[in-house]
Amino acid sequence: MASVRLQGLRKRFGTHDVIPSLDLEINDHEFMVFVGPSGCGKSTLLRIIAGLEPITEGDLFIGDRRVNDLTPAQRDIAMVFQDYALYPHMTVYQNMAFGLEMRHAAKADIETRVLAAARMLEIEPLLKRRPRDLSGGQRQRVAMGRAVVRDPQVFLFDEPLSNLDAQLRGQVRGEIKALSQRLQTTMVFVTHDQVEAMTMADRIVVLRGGVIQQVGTPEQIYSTPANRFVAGFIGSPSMNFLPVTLEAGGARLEDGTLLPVLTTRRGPAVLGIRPEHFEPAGEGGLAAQILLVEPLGADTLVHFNVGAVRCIARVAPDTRPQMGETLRLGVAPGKAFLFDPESGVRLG
Amino acid sequence: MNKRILHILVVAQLVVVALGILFPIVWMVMSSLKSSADVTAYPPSFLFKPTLENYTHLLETTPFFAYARNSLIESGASTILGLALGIPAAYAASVTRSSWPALVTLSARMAPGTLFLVPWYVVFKALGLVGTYAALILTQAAITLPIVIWVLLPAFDAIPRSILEAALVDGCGVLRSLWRVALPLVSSGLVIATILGFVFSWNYFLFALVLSDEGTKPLVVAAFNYIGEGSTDWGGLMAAATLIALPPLVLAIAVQRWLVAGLTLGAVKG
Amino acid sequence: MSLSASSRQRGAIALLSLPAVFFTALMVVFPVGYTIWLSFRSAPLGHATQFAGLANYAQLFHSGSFWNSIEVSLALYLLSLALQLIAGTYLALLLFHARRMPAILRSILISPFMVPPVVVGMMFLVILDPSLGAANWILSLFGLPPSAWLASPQWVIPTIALIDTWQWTPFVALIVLGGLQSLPPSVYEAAKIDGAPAHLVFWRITLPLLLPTLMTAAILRSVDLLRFFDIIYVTTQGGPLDASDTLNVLGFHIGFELFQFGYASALAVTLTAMVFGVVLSLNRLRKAVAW
Repeated sequence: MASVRLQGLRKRFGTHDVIPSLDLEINDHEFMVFVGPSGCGKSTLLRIIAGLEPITEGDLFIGDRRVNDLTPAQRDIAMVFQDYALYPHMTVYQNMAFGLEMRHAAKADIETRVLAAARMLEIEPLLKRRPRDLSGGQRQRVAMGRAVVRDPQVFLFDEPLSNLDAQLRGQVRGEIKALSQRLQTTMVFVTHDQVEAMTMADRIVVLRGGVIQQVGTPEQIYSTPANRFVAGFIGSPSMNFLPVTLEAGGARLEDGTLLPVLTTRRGPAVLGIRPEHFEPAGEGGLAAQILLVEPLGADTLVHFNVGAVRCIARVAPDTRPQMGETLRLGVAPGKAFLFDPESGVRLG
Repeated sequence: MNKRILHILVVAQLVVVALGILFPIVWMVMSSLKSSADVTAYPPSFLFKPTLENYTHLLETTPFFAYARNSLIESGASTILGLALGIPAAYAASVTRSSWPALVTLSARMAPGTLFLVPWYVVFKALGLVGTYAALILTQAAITLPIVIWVLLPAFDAIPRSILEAALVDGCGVLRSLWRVALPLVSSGLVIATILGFVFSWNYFLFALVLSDEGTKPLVVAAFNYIGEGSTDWGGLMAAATLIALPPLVLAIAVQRWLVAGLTLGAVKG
Repeated sequence: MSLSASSRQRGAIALLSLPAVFFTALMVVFPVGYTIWLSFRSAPLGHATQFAGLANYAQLFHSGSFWNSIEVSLALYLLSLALQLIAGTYLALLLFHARRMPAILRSILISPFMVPPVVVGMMFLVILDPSLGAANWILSLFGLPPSAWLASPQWVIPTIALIDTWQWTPFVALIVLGGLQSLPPSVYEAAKIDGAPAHLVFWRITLPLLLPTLMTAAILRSVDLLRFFDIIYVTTQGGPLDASDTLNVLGFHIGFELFQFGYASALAVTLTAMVFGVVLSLNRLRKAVAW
């Protein structure tokens, strides 16, 4: 078990900097999730930690060791691949034992550890089977078993849930979380799915274009996003963004409506409102002419336009809004975000 | 009914074509089993009393087994050499995604044998190696090595990269990931490479024609001598031909399904 | 993306190809260089070689037998290639429509190109014998006059082309079949919905989509056909007279029967240049017809 530290890390493919310069500290025992859109460099970063991609510049530490020049095997990490990368010609047992065998562990020791890991992951009945005879979910467990059995310093997960169907994904998500609490090993988990990030992480790293946008707990990322990108990426449906002018009474929309927002700033800004932070308003507020109603059961999504901007509000199902109807919506107190219109940075 | 008739037509044409392909081989085997009177009968006889006298005569009057031994040694050793050189080269080329081995391989395949033969002859003559197994094995490996690379490169390429990475994370060095992970995954390719290498080395004529002597002569070169003597002895000639063709045919037919898949894979990938 | 954990790892991987590189340098690159060098020298056996400039090439290009060989080689090449591509495509279509390929049929198909060319020569010497061979007997069944086959100066090239076509058509067919099987079935369904009749589907859809595969087959066969040697050496030795004297047979004769190494080298270099020229242009064509 160890921390992972990246200092001034730079990665270049050809002439293109995929990671210009990055500093990050992942604490011991921590469950860290890298999240971001495709091409943001999250997988590259994970592969750099694994030792599958060479570092262009900067330093990488696992524990106190600088591991830049160590092979993946020497770094004492284990990795669960997106396609699981099980050895097709080996049984489940052999798959799990292989890494230990390569490290010259004693036969008896290997057997104890494989059986223990298999018991923990409930794959004991599968030990004699080959990967092609397993379902997707079972393969996923074997891939985790292969990592667990090694008892490494750091676990690396490269989008391990993306090949599972929705129901199974939810289940395995919970199991990985439980596993991490039980093993207390440092885990780094890459995903493009913000639900996975929010539900599993101790801390989240939001990446874009190889640059860290924000590092924080799920709560921090959700409630105090560093900038417009993070605010829009985390949360589903996405945050609504409206161009406003800030004045003494609050934020004035382009159609003249004044929304009460507490701020001392003046001038143009971007107002961010999460769908769940709209609330029915008696008088004043936005006049939202409903374009589309999506009842989800527990709540209902209402689509409407504010000027040229399409917005979504999450309302209680008993509101029973109808298409074409006009709702008056306000913003829950203290839940509005303001962003700099140029830089996108959140205004305090 | 339209579809049925069409299918019958297709099958009928296939049967005719297959018989046409088979005819020369069947004719060879039939002639080898005919007595000297039957084999030169005109019109040719289809009903005849089969005899093994051509084979016994061939094996008694010529050192057929010695030639067969030469063929076996030269083809076997050149195949092993081709595999020993080609497996690691194909793996390295696949892992590093470099294309030069394929390029060199193809070029070596494209050049006519006479392009290499003069220098080989000069050098081996100077070294006193003309007529030795060493010279024949080395030159025949120039046939087997390209075949091994040609068959194995696409096979290695088909292994998902993540599996090789997993082996790396599990602690395999380069040699061990080749030996323990990659090679078992291309086992059918390996069989095809071995068999094709052996067959084409067994069949290759030109190098041995120049570089072998009486003691190291392989069957295909010895067969050429039978032709001179055999102008009157068709039965004996066909008996020799049958025996020489037998090992490649048996080997190839034993793995026919994989062989066809392997050939097509290499070719379709270009 | 390459596997490149560290420079040491990369070094180890590079080391793997070293034996093959060394072998290729020794057995292929060096001889080719030596042959090119020799082609500019006169090298009578038993004497030291001397620089001869372009003399070998000049001799070659003024030699009647060289131009005869060019003619023979090209005629044999074009005839064989056309026969094999047409017959191979026909056979591949049959196999494709039969859908199933029983093991016995697959075995029959691979047999011809597994037989040593020397044996192929031997079997056809017997079958094509002008007086007692089976081929003339079969012709007589159809009321056709007998042919001298390999012994006839006019027919020797078509005959050898037929022999090679027998040996390699199944190979071409298997490659074309692979190409057919890799064509997207939805294209045929779309053509069916568009109402195209079967023959138009073949000419307008199948054949154009198949062209890259056909070019691959053509390249593979060109390499072998342009340096045709074994079967001719076994059956006719270039005869009757010089009617089947291909470049490779002529080169072997000059080099290893007359032992004029410099001259033979010039011929080998020229032949190699021809093969590369043809292959490179075919490859270009293949890229042009790729879809």
